[in-house]
Amino acid sequence: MEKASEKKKQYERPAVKRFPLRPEEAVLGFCKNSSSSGSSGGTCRTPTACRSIGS
Amino acid sequence: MTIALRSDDPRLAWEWPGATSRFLVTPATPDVDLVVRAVDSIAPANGELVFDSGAVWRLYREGEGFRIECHSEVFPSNPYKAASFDASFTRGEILMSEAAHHLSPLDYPLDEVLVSHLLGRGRGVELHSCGVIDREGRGHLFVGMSGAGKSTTARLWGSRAAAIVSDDRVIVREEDGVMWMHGTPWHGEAALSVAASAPLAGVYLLEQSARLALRELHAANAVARLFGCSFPPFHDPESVAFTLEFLERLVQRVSVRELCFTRDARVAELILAEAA
Repeated sequence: MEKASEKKKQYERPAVKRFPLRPEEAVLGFCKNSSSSGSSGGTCRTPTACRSIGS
Repeated sequence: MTIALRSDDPRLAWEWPGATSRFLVTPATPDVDLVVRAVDSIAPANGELVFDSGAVWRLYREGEGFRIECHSEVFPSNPYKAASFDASFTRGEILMSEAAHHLSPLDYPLDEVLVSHLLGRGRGVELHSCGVIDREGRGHLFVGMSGAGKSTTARLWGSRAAAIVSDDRVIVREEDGVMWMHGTPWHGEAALSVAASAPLAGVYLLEQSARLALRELHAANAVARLFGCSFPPFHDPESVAFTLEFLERLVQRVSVRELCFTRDARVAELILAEAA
C-alpha cells in the first residue's frame, strides 16, 4: 500500500503567466483582403472581399 | 447550424460568394430565421451601446434584444447594414441601405459576429485554426494566430488530406461527448474551405520553430492558449464563461499539444503517426 505522502503531488508555487491575445483579431474588429496577410487596421475598403480576415 | 434568409424585395439581388455557396443547404427548419429588407437609409441606433469593435461593427441593446450595426468607409452613409435580433439571436431582421442592396446580407462581419453570439450561448467555439480531415476520417486541428502557419500547414498536407475544412476558421462542437470540428466559409490565404465535419483526433497549437517536434502542454496552459485563439463575444460574461468551460472539456477529451512548426512536409506524417 502506498503511503499517503507518496500520493501527494509536489507543491507548485502559483505563478501568473501571460498568453497572447490580439484584440483586433479576437473581436472580429478588423478585416483584410485575401491578398495580404495580417489585419489591415480600421481602413477596410473592400467589404465584399472580406471573406478572409486575420488568417 | 442553419441560417435562413428570407426576402421578397426585388431591390435586393445578391449573389453568394464562392466559399459561402459551398455551405448552402436545402431549405428546412432553420436554427436562425432572418428577414432581409431593403431601405433607403438606416437610422442610427437609439439603444445602449454594448460593444464597439473599434472598426467594422457595433452592438447595441434594443428592447429585449440586440442590434448589430456594420460600418465601412466605402459607403457614403453609415451604418450601411443593421440587424436586429431577439435575445437569443435566432430571430431577426437585416436592413440593407441603398448603397448595399447588391451585397450579401451575411457578408463579413455580420456572419461571423452572429455565429460568435450563437456559439457563445452553449453551442461551441470558433477557433482561429486550420482543420484537416485525413483519409481515415479523423480531424486534426492546427491552431494559431495570423502568421502562425495555418495556411502553410494546409498546403503541406497535400494529398494526405481528404479535406481541409478551413485554413483559417473552424468551429468545434460537442455531440454526445465527442468533440467534432466543422468547416466554415471563412478561409485564409490558401482559400480552402468546405462544408465537412470530423471527430477531433488531435489539436495542435502552432509555434514556429527551426525543428519539427511535438511538445506536451499543461492543461491550464493549453486552455489559455486556445482561448487566445477563440472568438467569444467578450462583452458577454456568460459566453466567456461557457467558452472557458468548453475549452477545458476539449483539453480533457482530446490531446492538445504544441506543434513546433517549420515548413516541413513531414508534418503530415508526424501527425498521422501520432493518431495511429
